[in-house]
Amino acid sequence: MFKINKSWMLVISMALIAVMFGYALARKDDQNLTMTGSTTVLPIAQLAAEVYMDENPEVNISVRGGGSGVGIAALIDQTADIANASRAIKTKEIVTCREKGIDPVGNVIAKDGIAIVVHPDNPVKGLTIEQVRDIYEGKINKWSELGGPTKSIVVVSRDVASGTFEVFKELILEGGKTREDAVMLASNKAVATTIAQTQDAIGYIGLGYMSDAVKALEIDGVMPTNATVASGEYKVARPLYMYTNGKPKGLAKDFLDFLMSKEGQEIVEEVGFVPLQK
Amino acid sequence: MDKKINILLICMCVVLVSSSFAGESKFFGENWFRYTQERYDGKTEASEFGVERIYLRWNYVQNDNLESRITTELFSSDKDADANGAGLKIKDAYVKFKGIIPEGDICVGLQKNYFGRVYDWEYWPIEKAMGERYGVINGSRDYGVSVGGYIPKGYGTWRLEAVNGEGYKKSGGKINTELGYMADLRVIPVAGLTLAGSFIKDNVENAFGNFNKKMYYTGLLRFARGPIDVWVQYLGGEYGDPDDPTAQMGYMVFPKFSLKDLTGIDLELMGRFDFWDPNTDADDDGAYLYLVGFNYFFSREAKGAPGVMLQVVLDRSQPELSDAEPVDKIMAQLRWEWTTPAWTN
Repeated sequence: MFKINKSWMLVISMALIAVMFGYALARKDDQNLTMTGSTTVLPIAQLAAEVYMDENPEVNISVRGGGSGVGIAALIDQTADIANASRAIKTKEIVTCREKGIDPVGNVIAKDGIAIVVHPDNPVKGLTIEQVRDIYEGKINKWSELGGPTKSIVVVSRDVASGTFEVFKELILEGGKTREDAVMLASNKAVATTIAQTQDAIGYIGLGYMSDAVKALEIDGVMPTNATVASGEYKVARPLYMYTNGKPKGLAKDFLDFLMSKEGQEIVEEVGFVPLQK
Repeated sequence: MDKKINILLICMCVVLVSSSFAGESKFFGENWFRYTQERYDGKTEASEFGVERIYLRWNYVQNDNLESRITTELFSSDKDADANGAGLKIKDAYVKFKGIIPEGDICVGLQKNYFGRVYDWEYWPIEKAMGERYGVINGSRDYGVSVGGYIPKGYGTWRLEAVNGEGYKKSGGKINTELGYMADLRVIPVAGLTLAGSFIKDNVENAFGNFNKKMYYTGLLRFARGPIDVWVQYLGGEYGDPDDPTAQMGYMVFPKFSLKDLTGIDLELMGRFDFWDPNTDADDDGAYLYLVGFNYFFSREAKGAPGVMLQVVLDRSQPELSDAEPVDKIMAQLRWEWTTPAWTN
């Protein structure tokens, strides 16, 4: 049986650590960029990536959804270069990031309003924030209590991995919980489709998912539009983020610079969100 | 066996009853299937397959200020004769109250031991964390109450804990009249650099009905950047007769290096070097641990998709005494885990 010489062990360990440090410092960014996370941010990321790749054919950008929480987890695991998020990062996530050598920097790329939507045939035109809260907490159960038909309200919500859900919970529910029988869906698109197909339903989606198939309600007398979100008049609004590890560098910086340029912000507006600058 | 069946039935009832509650549930499963070969003095002392762990966990979030966790641990291997085919333990059973302390919580029940890094040790080198490996704490979980939280802006964590001190595996043993106390602080001044320290004070009743002193402290430095993750830990303290305790000390260096960026293969290489001296006043009674190994990820767990990894480790426990024979161990472990997406009942 061989004996391990402690001096040799030390030399080998030091050499291994030196090689590891050398490699880490010498890492170079390549031409691939991976983005994962919020389904709200997804349309912006997808269209911006397509346009950017058309202009830079040597670049490959991969865009995935999954929810804001999934995106931040991917940034922590270093399986994504950019985490798309429709909510701010949580303290617990910051601690995990920092411990693993990730310095999460939130780059605000657009603003978004969360529209409270119903079926186009629903006669109700507007609600107060308190009424929306009462609906989602199960205190209001019939449309007739709100000037609508004598029918039960079908409450549609987002799943808990969703940043939109987190923001809705903070701004509307003020920390309260959604009623037990709410239908929980995994994406903005799924919510919009369900509302379009269910006459008595109510749900909430990012402005980028608005279409003629659903009707947005006025909230506290203000209709959710790009203009009212930009002016701050519409209160159920939030910034949209792309989180990077440290200040953006290399390809991630180029892409974010593109997104913040006039051309990039036009893409934001084109897919229905509120640009940071005109 | 009746006891095991009763525990399982209780767990099933809790889960079934919970389905009528409002709140968010998440289920988690983990399975460690391990081959171990152990050699000493040229002879094979062990060569066996075993199911080292099956964890089944239910996380239930009632609302932003109230959440709970129940974890059952099952295992089956030749090592544990009492298991009689399969052993079953309750590993977690706690409720966390949030919103009372800013950015923090009060945790009540069978919960993690917040000493050293036992509480977030992910068993990357298969072997246990220092505090548990060298018997400073009796298991990774204990019955008690803890208060803790986050330092603002993500600069770290803190926790204070009072526990039985006997660990979760020794329920049904002697009735404890002396609680153990722990304090843990983790500071992350810059991303990638973690400084942590813990303290434990416990009086443990010995076979003669007297209380042994138990007081340990540990300091840890972790550096993580890109593919590199290096942990350095010092552990020291006193144990035994309160008037004449035995001083103990040890340290660990644990580097890990990911080859994923370099090769595209999701492979981590790692090493570990420990020294533990159970009595600093005695000569040549310490032991070294030399470990090399790798973790290969077939897939990583993400939102319901299973994560599957192969862990292979070669380690040698070498007594400090120069002519003593080492114990060599080869361990290969297939580890499989999954998490369901959270849903509202």
